[in-house]
Amino acid sequence: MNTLTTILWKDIINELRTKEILLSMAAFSIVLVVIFNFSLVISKDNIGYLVPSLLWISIIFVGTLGLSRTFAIEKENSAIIGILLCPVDRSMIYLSKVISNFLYVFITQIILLFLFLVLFNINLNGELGLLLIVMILGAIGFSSLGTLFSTMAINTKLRELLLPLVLFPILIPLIINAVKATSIIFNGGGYTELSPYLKIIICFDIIFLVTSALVYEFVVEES
Amino acid sequence: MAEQLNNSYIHIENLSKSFGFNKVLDGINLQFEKGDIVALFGPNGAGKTTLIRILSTIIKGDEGSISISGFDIKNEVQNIRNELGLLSHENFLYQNLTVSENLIFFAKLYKIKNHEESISKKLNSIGIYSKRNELVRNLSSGMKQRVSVVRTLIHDPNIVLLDEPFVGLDIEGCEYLLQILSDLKKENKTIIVTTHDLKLGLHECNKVIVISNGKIRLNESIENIDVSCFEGTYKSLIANRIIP
Repeated sequence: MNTLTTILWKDIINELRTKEILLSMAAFSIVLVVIFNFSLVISKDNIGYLVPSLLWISIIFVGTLGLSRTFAIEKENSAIIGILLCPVDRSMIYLSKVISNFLYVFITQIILLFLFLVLFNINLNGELGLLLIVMILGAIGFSSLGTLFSTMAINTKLRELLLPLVLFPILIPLIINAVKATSIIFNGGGYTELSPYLKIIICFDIIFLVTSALVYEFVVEES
Repeated sequence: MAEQLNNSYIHIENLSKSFGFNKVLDGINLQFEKGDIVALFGPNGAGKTTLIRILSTIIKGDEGSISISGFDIKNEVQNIRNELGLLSHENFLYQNLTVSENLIFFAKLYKIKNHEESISKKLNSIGIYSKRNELVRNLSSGMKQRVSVVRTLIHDPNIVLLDEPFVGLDIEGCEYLLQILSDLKKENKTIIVTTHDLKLGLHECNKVIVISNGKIRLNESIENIDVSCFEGTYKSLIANRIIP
């Protein structure tokens, strides 16, 4: 636990000082949503299925940008080696990175959601709480897999290209269910309709969080 | 003989490591005693850094066994990490944290109690206490190296690995590092230094190893080596190497 909080503290201090990750994610989010706003005709008829897809596509693309940046910091001066030299459990390194990536993704999700709600004039009919639950669960799944794969990509030459190529196909089950769950909320559906998709997302999160934590030792030591 | 080998402080047996089809270490057998100061020479691509990284537990060997201070590297790796420190030409520091923040970070990972007092003492001893609140990115390379030295020794390791530590250092930086080596020798630390610089490497060492193409070409005590013509010996040992 001490290792987890120590690494997390370091990441938070670094980000508060540079604001590199959050600013780049926020800027990319704004650009994406503005482009969607200008290029797409969104009406009451298609809002329920189009906006959830656009929202989650934006989250995935912006989130991947953030993943690349969180590991660029560790690559600078090979700082990650300093951590690997210490007597720390590699799964704690993984979990601390998942938490910091989750925080960046969640903050970006809030920004994206705000932009979509305002620019497309969307009314959630009081289901903001349910939507936030879907977004949090989706962010957990994205961060758990994304942290593993960005560690694998860290030493490759084309890591900015390789990471999305490898990560996105594996995220497909998560994205499909997250989009469906979000679409239900936008169309006024309640918890009963939402429940099967939430359960699938939770299973995805648990499976990939646990598996990634177990294999992370082998990934980080060869990267 | 087998018993003697297994009682060595660092015992490396049949160590091999490949990266893809490139065999970087090939059946390495080495033994070091406590307090040995080992100079490890070899050309680029010889396997020096790979050997250091395996000893420091950053990467794993493919074959063979290693025991350090009685701990098996495969099963007791966390115990070994407490015994080791690694100093490299890369400083392993976070550029956007201050000197203090970097050292507190590593002290916490090593679970050092009263780390603030310990860090202040160490910073004072190397003359950079006044820089403790500076961001690492704003320091000169010489200052960064000194902070890296504190980072390496923060948990008082018994074994210090130095991987090309003289790279990029000016004369003052080299002299400072040699002084650190001398101080560590007085504390009976076990030291392994890899370097291209024969003169700097032979300073203070009691054992000389030459590695080339992943194999040990020379493993001798300094008393058995003619230091004055070691350069010629070294060149002949690596003459038939395969250039990567």
